[in-house]
Amino acid sequence: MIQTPVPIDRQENPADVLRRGLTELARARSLRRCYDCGKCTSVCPVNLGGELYSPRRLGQLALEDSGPLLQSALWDCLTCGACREICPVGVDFPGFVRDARALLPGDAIMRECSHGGALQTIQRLTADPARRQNRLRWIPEGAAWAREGETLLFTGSAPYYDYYFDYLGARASAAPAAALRIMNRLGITPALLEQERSSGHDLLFSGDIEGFRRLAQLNVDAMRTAGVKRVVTTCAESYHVLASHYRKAVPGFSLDVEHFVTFLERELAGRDVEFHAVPGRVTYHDPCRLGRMSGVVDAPRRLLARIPGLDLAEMRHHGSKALCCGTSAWVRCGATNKAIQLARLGEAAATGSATLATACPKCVIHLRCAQADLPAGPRKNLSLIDITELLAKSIAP
Amino acid sequence: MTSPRIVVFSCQWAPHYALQSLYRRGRRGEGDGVRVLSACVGRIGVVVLGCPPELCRHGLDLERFHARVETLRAIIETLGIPADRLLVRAFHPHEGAQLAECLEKFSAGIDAVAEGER
Repeated sequence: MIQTPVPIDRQENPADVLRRGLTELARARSLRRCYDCGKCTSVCPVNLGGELYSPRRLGQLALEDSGPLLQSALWDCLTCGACREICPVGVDFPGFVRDARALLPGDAIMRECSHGGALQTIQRLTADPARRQNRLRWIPEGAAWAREGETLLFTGSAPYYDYYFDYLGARASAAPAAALRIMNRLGITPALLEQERSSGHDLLFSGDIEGFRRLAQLNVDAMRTAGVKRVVTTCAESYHVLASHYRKAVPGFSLDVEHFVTFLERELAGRDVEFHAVPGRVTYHDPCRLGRMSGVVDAPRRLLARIPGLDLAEMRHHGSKALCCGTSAWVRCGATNKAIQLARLGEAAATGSATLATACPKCVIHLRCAQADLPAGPRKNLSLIDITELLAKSIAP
Repeated sequence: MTSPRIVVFSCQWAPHYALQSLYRRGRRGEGDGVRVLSACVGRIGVVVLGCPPELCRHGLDLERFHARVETLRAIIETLGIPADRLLVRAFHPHEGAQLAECLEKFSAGIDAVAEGER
């Protein structure tokens, strides 16, 4: 069972708890191995976004001073994993940040949530076992799906994002709807669960480990009741926590978990499926949770390469070196985050692409939010789309 | 009427004066279970009071407010929370009696919900 990273004695002085917890986490995440080479700083998007920020400095701070400077710096990190990727001695800065946030007082955590904490609140409301949601209203008419079955199409928070981010014109359920269309085209009828919850990614990465554990348990219970054997999702963050954190959170969880792109590639093998032309130049943005943190880099590109007329152009930073979309887990979002998002849109526009495709609904939302403030121009004109929607245009038009 | 747990978010202008006129006449009107501008933890009914459009001095804010209420309504329905537990109304300063009537009616409806939850 996942608990707070360090057992907390509630009688102990909170400052002592934090100091002790940070020391233990520093050991678990190998912070003392750092020999100050500075490579992490050179790839950190927060540093590239204009803020004087350095993962190694954060590590030093954690070992020396657990005061306000460190506590604030913990929320600047995007947990994108670029520093861990380049670190020659394997220091796990993002893992340290994720677990260190759980040591901070609850009110400090909520202060750092963007959107007034509304998105975390929605997730916590669904952590109630008695909650009876109406979350399947996005399903297109005529689609074939079932309430039980071996293959689950997991949609996480998409039905809530549809409403919350309507003002940006972002429709998160368009990706699972496209996945459903493709699955039906391949003769697959997936299960969709009315009482599925958010994957818990945002609670886990914003320090609420107990909330994450509750959501994970409720999801696994619902999957077991519905006879699910394999979980497929179009959301990179849901995929990451389902595949990498659920086993630790829920005893006995052993279901196969796949992102839709790897699922589709495997299902297409041996099938004669026609790809219709979708002409135009497209660039692909690797979500951190799917590319760098889960190693799924080639599958989306191989699928895009099969679409006739589609010209795939790579951004300066791509694959495991991709630049983050600028925000994660609905925590701190400010001028630096916007600068990162604008830089990413700039890289995409520089490829001459009309479309940026990605495999995470949150990347689309964050980049759309940055576009909203832009004047007319190549960055504003980029069409942002989930890769599953693009594939559905070709496979199941 | 019993005492359902209801929180009222009130605009500080027009409906606020309507509430004040109720208090001046020594009439709480909204019942013991209603708390105006209180923390909403544990409440099962929510009332948001705003100004009628012609009295609102905050320009586009009123439009944004209504758009956000619609978003909220859609989200709580998805959560499985009946949308009639959220009441949004506008009152003129002289409409104390109508305000009291509205709150009494809403409280009675919430009473039924509370009864169902017991």
